[in-house]
Amino acid sequence: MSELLVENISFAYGKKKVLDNVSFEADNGVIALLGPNGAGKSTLINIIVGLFTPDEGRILLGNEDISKLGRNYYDFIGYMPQSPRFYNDYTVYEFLWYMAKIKGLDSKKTKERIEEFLELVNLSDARKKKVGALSGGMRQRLGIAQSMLNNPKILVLDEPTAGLDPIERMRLKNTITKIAADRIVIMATHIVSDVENMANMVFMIKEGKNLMYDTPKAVLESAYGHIVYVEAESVEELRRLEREQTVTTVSNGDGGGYRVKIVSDCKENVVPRSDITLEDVFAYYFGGECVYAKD
Amino acid sequence: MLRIEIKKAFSNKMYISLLVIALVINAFYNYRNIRGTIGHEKEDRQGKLKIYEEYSGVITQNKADEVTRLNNEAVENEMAVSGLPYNPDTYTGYKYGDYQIYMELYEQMKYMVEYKSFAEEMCGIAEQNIQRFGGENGEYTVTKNEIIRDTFEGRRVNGFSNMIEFDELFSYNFSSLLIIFIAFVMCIDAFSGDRETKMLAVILTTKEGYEKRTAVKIISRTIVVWTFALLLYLQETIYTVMALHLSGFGNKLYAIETFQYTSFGGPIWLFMIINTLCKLLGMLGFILLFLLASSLGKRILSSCIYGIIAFIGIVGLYVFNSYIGFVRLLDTELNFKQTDIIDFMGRPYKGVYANIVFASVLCVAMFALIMLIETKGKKLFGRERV
Repeated sequence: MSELLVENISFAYGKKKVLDNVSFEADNGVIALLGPNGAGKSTLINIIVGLFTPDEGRILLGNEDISKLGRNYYDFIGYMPQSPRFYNDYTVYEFLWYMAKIKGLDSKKTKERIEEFLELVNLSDARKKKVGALSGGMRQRLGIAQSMLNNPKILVLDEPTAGLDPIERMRLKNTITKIAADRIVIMATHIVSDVENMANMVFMIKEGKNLMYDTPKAVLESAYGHIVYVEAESVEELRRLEREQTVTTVSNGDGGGYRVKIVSDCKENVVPRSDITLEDVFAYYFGGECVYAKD
Repeated sequence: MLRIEIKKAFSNKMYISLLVIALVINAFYNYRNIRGTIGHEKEDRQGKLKIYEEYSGVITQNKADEVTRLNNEAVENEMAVSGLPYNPDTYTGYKYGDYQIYMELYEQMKYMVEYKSFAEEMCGIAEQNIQRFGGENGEYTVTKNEIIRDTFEGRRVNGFSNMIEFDELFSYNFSSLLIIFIAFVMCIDAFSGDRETKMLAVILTTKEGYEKRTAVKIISRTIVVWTFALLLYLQETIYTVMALHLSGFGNKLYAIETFQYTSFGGPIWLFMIINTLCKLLGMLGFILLFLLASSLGKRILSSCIYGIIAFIGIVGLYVFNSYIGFVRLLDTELNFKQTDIIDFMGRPYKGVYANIVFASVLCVAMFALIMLIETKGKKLFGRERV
């Protein structure tokens, strides 16, 4: 049996059901939680970290229902919310000290862990910097460091790469990959390219329901035959395509013009398996109906 | 967690800067008031202190006779000496100045000597009313007069010192305004700030934060604001006492003429402690009011607006009925100068006690409301608050 089992979770804001019978299970590694805005990712995360109580269903951690663990559940949880700002007037070290204390760590352990995670997230040189003076990427890494202080079994990261430049994004992805070796990392994102090489499993959620839960390879495979190449001779034609089709990627064509990947069930110019990316899959599942295919 | 929150507040540069600015403003304002009382002539002041020192202590017949004689002499010769030149053999440098002090001293001593008769007269009137309204339907009036009688019974002033200048200390309320402002700044972002910075979700997913966060925030803010308040109160008390050379703290509060009708029968030093406690309770009201505003606001800006509205509301309530709420507790003179009796559900109560009870109930209600909003807020106001 898996370490973490999310079983038939349902949740509603008043009469609006945002999660409907959602289930998945997880072991150590990165689980990418994919879905468009409003799909229910944040709500599911709030339930997993114990902020919300589900209306139906349960979550088992190592066979134990988390509702029975009470406050002890937080020993197993590390959480970084989306775009956190933290306390601007603290230095990096002071902030981590504060977090360690409210996580219940003693002073000796606090010092050790802070050093360990400052090193891990590459913030050792910034320990005396004020949180308010950190760049977006540094702040995200600080967020990961604070979430790791209690050495959690489950680390939940809500859009950790949002708003970062490519270098910061790469650093953060490397850090997360390292961390995930001996724990479950649940990472919600709508930037699908971020999880392509990192995720061990991909969980896709649509309108609050399970859409797919599988390995990245299987998820990519599921889109095979539904993504095709088309050529656009001019910018106008490209714009028309974007209006009428679900366009996933645009690249420059060999003889001028543009080579465009679109979602379509057409049998011609099917994108080969090796060229399909998670972005294509995302567009296939969440990008809307394909007018071209209907014709 | 409480220790960390307190440490966090005390190491906050903005809060410390606010405290320093408040101390400077308070010192300046206090100094300006005291200067008005002392006057600019140092010799005048020294002379006054010497004269009062001579007659301070237990009021004896000899002292009373001597003061009466000096007063009569001053009244008779006041005009005659008004133009006389500087005289080093006088206390103040001028005979006219000495006479002015003798007359003031006489009036104070007269009040103290006669206070016993005044108190007996008050008891007598109360007793008469008790007899007169003792029949059917007179229960309220009887109880009211019993309270008055019990308050004034056995009152007398034995010791003499310059009590009139205690007014300077007890009429000073400016510091409370400064503390209310500090409380606003310190409390208004306590909960909404955590929501805005996403710290709420982070804190709530920790073991300590999950259990203690709300109570810790309230207690820590209270401790810090109270500490700042005590520093300001202490500052103005020490400065006023030293600058005016106040003495006679063992005298009863009613030895100060403006507190002739006070409901408080204890010594001045005890009154100073009780008055400070009342002010701290009043301040707690404001702390909880601003924390409640912070609790209701999803962002700091909205809680600021709620806080300002709540402040106007509570001041409005004070204008409407000063006993309900906690603003009155910050006003020493209003609270303790009179033995005011108020009617609550058909029974008479001393105004100050009623006000303390009302304020305490309001504080408990606000505390409970904050706890409810912050812990059950998800259900009460929609789950998106986290």
